[in-house]
Amino acid sequence: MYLKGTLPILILHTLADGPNHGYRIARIIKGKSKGVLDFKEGTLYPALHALEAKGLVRSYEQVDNGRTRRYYKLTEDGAKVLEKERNEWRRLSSAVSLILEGT
Amino acid sequence: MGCPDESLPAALDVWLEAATKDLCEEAKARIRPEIEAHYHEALDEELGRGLNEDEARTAAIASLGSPKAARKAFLRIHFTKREAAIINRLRTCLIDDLSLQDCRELRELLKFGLILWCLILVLVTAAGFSKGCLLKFVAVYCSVSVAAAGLLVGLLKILVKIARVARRTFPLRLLLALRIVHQLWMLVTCVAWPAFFIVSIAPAGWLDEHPGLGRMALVIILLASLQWAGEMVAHVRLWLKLARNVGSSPSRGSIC
Repeated sequence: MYLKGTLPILILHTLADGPNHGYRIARIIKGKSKGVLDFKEGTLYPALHALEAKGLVRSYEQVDNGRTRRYYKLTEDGAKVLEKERNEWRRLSSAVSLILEGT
Repeated sequence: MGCPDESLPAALDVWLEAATKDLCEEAKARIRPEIEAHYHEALDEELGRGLNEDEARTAAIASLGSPKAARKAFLRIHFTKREAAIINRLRTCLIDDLSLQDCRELRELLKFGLILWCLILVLVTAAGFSKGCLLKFVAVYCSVSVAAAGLLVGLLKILVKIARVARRTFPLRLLLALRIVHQLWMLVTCVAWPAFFIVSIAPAGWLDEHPGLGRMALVIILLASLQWAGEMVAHVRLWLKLARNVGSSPSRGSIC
């Protein structure tokens, strides 16, 4: 399952725990959702690049076990947007829950 | 990125080619190493899970999904070759080459104007217009052209000065907007000038007497209009892309 438009906020949330590279970001999202949120990993990079274009994340290269990886880091603007998006999501999900689980 | 000693499988190369098709070189250079590194991580994980080499490669490629979907998403954020060329021209014109004499755009514009002007002269001469009619046409065309060129050069000079003050950080979107206005002007000129010529200056009944020339003029107008309309659409699309992705992007900070 993949809810369209949610990938950027999931990426930002993952990066709130610290800088990470694309592969590990994908693994964390899939792992934390216990495999429910499944997206094709080729679309993760355009999302990361779009976030970088908006100044919400910054990237840098780092060598890891002999492999050069591009790491992404949350910016201050990114943290603010993440907080805003979290609140929006909570409001939306509680509203949907009220409807679906209401009597 | 990725280990230089690790060979790139053909399937990954095909995937990358499809996913980065039409993108500018800088975008490709940014995307390819990231995807390659991702693939090698995925390959290691699949091998670690006990899959054989072939199965692991297939699984690693499959995890990337459709290259077409990735390409569509990459195109929203990265420049295509054509867009990079447009930006290159814009920057060369107004920022990098501050001298108007070296301005490629202006030279192209003048070249185009000269060709159009020669074509009109050939048409007018072939039509066998009277000397008075020809002079009237030349006078009107030249005066309006000189006024328009003067206005354009004046505007460019002001822009160059502003760009100097702004330390070469003149907003790309504004440059594009100016180009779009210029193209709109050229589009209108392509249609309006010949129409004005036929309606106001050509002798009465000229079109009936020279249907071949009329058709030729129509084809020229149509081709020129299509060229400018095509350019304008490409610029508007690029402007929208820039507007959508505010900030500095991987392949937007510099030019391909």
